[in-house]
Amino acid sequence: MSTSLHTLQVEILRYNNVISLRNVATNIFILRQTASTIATDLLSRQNTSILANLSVFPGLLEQYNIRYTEKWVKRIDENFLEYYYGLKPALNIPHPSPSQSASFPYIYHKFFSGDVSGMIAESIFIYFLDHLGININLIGHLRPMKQRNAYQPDYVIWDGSNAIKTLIQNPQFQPPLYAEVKGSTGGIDPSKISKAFTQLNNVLISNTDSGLAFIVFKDSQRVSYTGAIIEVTI
Amino acid sequence: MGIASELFQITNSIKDNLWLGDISEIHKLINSLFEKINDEEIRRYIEASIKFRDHYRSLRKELKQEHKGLALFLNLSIKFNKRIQKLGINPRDSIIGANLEYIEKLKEKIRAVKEIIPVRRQEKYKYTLRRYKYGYEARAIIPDLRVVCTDKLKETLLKLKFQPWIIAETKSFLSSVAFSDNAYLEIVIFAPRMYIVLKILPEKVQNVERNIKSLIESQIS
Repeated sequence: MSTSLHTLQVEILRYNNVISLRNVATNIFILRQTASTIATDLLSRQNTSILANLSVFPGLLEQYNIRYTEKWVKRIDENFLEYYYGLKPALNIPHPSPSQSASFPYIYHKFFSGDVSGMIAESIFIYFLDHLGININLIGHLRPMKQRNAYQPDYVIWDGSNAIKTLIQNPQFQPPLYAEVKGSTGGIDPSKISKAFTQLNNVLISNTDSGLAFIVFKDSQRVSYTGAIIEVTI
Repeated sequence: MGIASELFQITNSIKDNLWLGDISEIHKLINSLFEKINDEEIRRYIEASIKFRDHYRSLRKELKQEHKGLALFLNLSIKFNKRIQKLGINPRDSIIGANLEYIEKLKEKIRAVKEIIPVRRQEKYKYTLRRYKYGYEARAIIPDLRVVCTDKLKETLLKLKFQPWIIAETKSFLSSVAFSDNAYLEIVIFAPRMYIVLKILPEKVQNVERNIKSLIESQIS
């Protein structure tokens, strides 16, 4: 088996322009245009800086997935070929669905529930934060608290240490930092960037607030993943 | 920032204990959290969470009549942002409230549960051990584990007559497999967690728990 199947090469970029929602999230044409420009820039490495080059073991990603993304898929590494080729594994939800009272084995050993690219993106995001030295115990993953048709950002990060300032240019920033994570196993999808901006627009209300859109995509040869941090303010 | 950071640390610790299956520790963590925040504060946060959610839902329902897709998300976010500012609802408080709601629900769900698996407690670690048809699965939490001790693990495996193979390691992570004449071991360490799967020929089962403890103890400094 080649080395490329054992490690996941991930380049993490920072988009150099801070996106102001006051300018962008007002009109759908501006929003779409901005997202499209960012996507083009990210693909051509314009207006970007390299923050890190990560070499991630799928098995390690699996641990981040179990601990911090709440989608307890049974083993990313075992299914890695499917992920590698961008295939979506069949759903593996026990039937009938476990009742409330019988939910413990389900909590303890949750099955695959779809959304492979999102899960990989979220795991890479936490791995990257850990790599930066951010205290990952101060990260709240809000998926378990999400309720139908109600919005919660994917993550809130309550770490106010210097490590977080690597990601944030807003001089007035005060924790928490809100983050929306979007991933695709194919190329970059501008509509996901637009959606992340509108989602962050639900929670950023003052000059001290900052948000991150973390976009994960594969290059045209589907060889490696790229993660891009886009800072968002009001 | 105090209560929020403490809340998320405890939530992450609850997740570790859910993974291990230590229900009594989860009860303790939840109780310690609710001792630190008074009832009035809890209600205030939860109320913020409920208001945040209800306003979002009602606006979404209203706007869904005229917008779809990205236009819906955009218009919703613009109107929602204005509305919560006008009503003085802070997203930060609503997130704390949502987390407290989640913990209250979890508390209710596990109220009658005393134990889902026996937890073996040692001075510097605790673990659970499950038996399966073809082997065993052990899960351990070693609270002080920061840096994986690869050499000590290899040494222990060799003593137990296993041939170790380290697949991957970083400072706080290790993935390895090991083989002997009659057994296969898989060990994953992701501090503070340690996960061990042992597949063994039924006729060769002996001293399993002692050997698993020695593997866990290889990570105790």
